[in-house]
Amino acid sequence: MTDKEILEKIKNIVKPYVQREEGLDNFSESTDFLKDLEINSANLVDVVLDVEDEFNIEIDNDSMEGMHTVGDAKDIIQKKLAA
Amino acid sequence: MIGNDIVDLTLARKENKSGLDRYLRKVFSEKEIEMIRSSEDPELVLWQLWSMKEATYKAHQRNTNFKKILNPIKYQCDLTTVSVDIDNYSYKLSCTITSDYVHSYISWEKDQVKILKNSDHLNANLLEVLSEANNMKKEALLYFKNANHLPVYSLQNKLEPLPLSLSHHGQFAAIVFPLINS
Repeated sequence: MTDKEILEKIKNIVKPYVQREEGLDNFSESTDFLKDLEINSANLVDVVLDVEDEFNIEIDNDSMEGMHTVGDAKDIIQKKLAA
Repeated sequence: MIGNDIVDLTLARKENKSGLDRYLRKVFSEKEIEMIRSSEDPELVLWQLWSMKEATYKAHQRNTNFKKILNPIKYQCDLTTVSVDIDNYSYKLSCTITSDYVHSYISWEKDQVKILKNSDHLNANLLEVLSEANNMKKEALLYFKNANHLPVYSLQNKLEPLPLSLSHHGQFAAIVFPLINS
């Protein structure tokens, strides 16, 4: 799976939880889930669960703590897919 | 020490999280899941525990200067003592529960706690709330984020900012802050 494909999938996953729609316009690896998309932290758990389902992986709590940006999420996904 | 979190129950109850096993296991310990399940109102207990964790996370973040995202399962709630343990720290909280919202906060005794309803323009209302509580003109006060992106406020001509904790969910906003002359 290419970086672009992973990013596209993440974008679709976060859409229902985004409170700042402008944040989706320039969606990139540097997009911050809390600051740019204003996803609340209760919904960030939903994002993690949806990512687990979409990519058929398990994201442990320690990895979740470092998931600030879309790029962080992409790195975690790639690491888990390669494992 | 300052941190707060408000949950709009009308909005939160729609999510029906107490029935979602995977969600519960990501966020809550076995003991906390038991508290939720054995309650007559599982959704309410779930959101009270959540708001306690989130408020503690905010206070702990200021206290220890870390830059991680909330890892909710690490924050262990005790409803009897209304406290939350994280690593080697223990925080004592206050919780206000109404039919419309749950509000958890950590503050010093003299801090101000304000709940706003229908607050679409929180930043505009914020200075009003701060100026009223301090009995000072709005123009005299400054609201900004510090180097760690945490909200603070101060007098225009003073350098020493005071911590401010903000929370916004659905139709409610909550603000906890010390007075300038306290």
